[in-house]
Amino acid sequence: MDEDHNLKAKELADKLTNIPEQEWDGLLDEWCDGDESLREKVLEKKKKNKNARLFVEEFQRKIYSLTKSSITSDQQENEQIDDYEIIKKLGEGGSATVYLARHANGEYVALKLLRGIGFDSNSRHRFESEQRILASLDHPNIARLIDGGITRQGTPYVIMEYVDGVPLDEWSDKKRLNLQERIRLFQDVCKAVHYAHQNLVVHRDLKPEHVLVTEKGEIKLIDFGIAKLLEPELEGANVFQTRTGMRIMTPEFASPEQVQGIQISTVSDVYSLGVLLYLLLAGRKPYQIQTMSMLEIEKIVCETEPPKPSEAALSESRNGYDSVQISKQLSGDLDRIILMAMWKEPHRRYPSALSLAEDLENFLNGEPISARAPTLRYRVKKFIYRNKVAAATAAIAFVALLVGVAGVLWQAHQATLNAERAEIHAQQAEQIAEFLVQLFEESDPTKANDGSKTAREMLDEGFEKVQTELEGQTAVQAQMLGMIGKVYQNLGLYEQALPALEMSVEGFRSIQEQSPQYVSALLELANLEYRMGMLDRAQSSTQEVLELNMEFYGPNHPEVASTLNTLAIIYEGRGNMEEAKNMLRRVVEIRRKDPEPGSNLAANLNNLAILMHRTGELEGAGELFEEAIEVIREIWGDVHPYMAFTLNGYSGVHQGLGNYDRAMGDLLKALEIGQQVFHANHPFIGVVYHNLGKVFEELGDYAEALQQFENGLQLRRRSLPPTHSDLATSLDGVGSMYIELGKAAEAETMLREALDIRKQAFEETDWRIAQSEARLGRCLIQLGRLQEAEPLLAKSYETLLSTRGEDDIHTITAFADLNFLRQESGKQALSAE
Amino acid sequence: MMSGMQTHTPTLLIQKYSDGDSTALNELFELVYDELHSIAKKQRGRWNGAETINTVALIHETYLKLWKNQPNQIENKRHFLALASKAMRQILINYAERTASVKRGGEYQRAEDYDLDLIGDQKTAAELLEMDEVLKQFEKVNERQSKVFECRFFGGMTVEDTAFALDISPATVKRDWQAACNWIYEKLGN
Repeated sequence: MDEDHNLKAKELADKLTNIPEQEWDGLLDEWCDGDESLREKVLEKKKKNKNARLFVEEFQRKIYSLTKSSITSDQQENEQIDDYEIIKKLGEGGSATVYLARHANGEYVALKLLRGIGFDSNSRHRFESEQRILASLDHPNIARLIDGGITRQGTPYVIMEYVDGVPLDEWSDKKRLNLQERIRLFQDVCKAVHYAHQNLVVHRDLKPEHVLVTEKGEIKLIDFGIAKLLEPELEGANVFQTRTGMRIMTPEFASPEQVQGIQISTVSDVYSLGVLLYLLLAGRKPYQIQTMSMLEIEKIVCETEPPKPSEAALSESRNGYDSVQISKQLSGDLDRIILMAMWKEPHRRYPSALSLAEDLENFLNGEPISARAPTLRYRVKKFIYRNKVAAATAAIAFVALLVGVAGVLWQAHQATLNAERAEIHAQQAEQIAEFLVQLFEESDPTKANDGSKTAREMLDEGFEKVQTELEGQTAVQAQMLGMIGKVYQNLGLYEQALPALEMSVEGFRSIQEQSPQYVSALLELANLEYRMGMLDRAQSSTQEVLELNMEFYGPNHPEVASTLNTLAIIYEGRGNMEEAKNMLRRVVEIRRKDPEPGSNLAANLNNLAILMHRTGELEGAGELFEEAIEVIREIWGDVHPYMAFTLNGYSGVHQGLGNYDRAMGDLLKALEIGQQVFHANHPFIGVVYHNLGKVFEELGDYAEALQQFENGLQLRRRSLPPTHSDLATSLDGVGSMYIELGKAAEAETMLREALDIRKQAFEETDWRIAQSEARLGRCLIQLGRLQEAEPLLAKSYETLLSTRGEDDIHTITAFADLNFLRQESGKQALSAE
Repeated sequence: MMSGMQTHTPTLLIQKYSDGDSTALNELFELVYDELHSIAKKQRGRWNGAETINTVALIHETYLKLWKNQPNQIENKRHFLALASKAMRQILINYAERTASVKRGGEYQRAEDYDLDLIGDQKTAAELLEMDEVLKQFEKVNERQSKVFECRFFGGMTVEDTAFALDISPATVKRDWQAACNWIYEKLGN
């Protein structure tokens, strides 16, 4: 009986666990049904439960004495805190809970318990002084701070004017306010914020919930400065809240400097106002932050550019609003105003909340606004700053922004490696980045639009300045010249790159002969010389690098291997394939001995395989590709740029061996990886499309081949300068497929464009021009325009015969076409000797 | 730059642990210790050694750091939270043991441990060790309830976080927490 009773009591006590205390009486009346001893037992159990909890919590508090915030304890309703009686809970945030409370004199107030504040005298002192400042704020649109104190349990609290209001955005929607009315209301917010700023109070947590509108349509800002009270005075004291995702500020409205935990100022509020205005006008927040990871939040807030409000408005369908109409209204001035308030860099924002209000006034009056769209100069500067640790990376960024040179990521990676190798000191790098930034600052912003001509001008100017202004700072100057040379080289301006790199090499040589920087600069120069076709010079430069590296590091060092790799490429350029292959074999040998061969072994295997493929050693090439794939898979797994490159190369071997299925399979894999690891317009993806086209062509599926060539062409048009030779290659592919499909008219346009590109790139007697002419000629034959075709084919044949020889497939084809043409036009056939 | 595969990422350790490899937990502790001491050193440098360092806060910061690097997968986050609480407990106990052993004439202390002074109060240290013992008994009685206790008490987690970490309902968490408190109170109260 007694045990039954106990069990029953326990059961009932459990049932009460999640039920508010004031409802217990009623429930117990019902459950116990007059059994007073049962009722007592239940209540006793409850009391014991509470004691147990208190005991444990007290113990926990002792251990965690400085991280009280992790222990939450709710104030019970009807409880008295000093002169205030708690009526009900209004809301709960990370480290504060707000209650509606009533003063002994009957006045209703908002009581906010601040659980995040420390107990020690230091914190109390700070709390009290902050509280005094806040209490001095007296503005009709700011909720007053009435009082503050510390509860018996030691939790600080503040008493504020109780505002019965609705968040600004909600209210505006409810009242169906139009654009003008919304802006007017928002201006009031700005002015109130400005008032507080003049009194040295920053809100720090502006968001709709803190910007209320009363029944009368009046703005009331609440919680002014409260966020600061809640701020931990020591770094790290507050982190636990962070981990559990309860953070003082609201990430969507927090400025980058807030998210990063650096200096907060009045313009941090300007940023939040910008977000608020964004939400108010576009109907959605600039960022939708769902993650709890601070790292991700930081990334979104600090690095992502928000969409223009006018664009955001389009994607948001709001009941009763015409989103197209809204988007039109926002586009232009309002976009600029909002985004100006929301600059990531504090100093670029409106200097005050008032100036934001004023610019809105300008807008309403149809006067010119002061906000401006970002300039290219700004974007470049930003990019460079982001990358300033490695100056070489900055140089790449610089090029990328100006002319859209693709493959930036990969190159930047390489550049960083180079920079590390060259032991650029951080300080030097900084100096260099500064210099670049200055360069853009001083350029006329109106001229700094996209387009390589301007970029070229800036670069020329930079080249001049580096030579004059950095005189005497030889190390920085040499480094800078090296960078400029590299940029010129990447722009294809080899003539300009050459003196820059030569001077860079000389500079380093004058500081210290045979220093690592000298060697690295020399290697860069060798690369350029190679590209310029100065193969003798390239070879001797590289040879010097090789000898120095052998001396520095010994014959089996990775540095030696990478130099040998360059030398091999030069030999290949000179047509000395056997020597090139031998060198690469040496390279691979060194790499294989390296306990951590890393990416290099993979790259070298790949290069050797490509050479062997080209010299017809298909099987050997295949084995090397296999090995490369294994190495890459082991280091990085399947999804990596190298894997894509290697599969693409390997597919060529399959194709050569007639294994079209495997070729296709590897290309598709390469494409899939490429699409994951590169941006959508990366040149490599263009290469893969092209190669897919070739496989389909081999298989006789011309329609599909056309499609693939076309894909490649479209991509290359987006990513390459219009005179790039790869563009011509794609045009050839597309044109040839049109011919195969009997659409010669379409083909002609393509082939003519290809020919034009090549004529800009090569000497008139280059075999590649000849080949292009032959294709166009064939097309014209199909179109029946024999008279136009004849001179093209004749010239092409002459060139091919002298450059490629009579056995070359292109020569033979051209000859056949010419023969056919001449028969057709009734002329004498050319006799083949 | 692109470094090779690391074998000691917290993510991997957590995976290993949830795959049944109990040594992973120790490795995770080691990782946390290393982080802890490097942070402590930094703090010390920054504060010029004048202030006392709150080690519990440091541990939390350390976990935060590890947490930030977790892949955004629910399963992983669950394991992480539960494990972090376990690790927190272990670390607190370690410090408590050290404090207690100093009293007994303590023979050995790692040099870097002088950076940290968690539970300087030997009475608290003794109480904490006692609680650990009681909790070990409780684990045998009701594993889930003791896990809830671990999360809430050592991990300092909220009801919601605990519910998420253990994949049970918040109401269950509240009930379990109460039951665990009762057990502890019964053994240690008065």
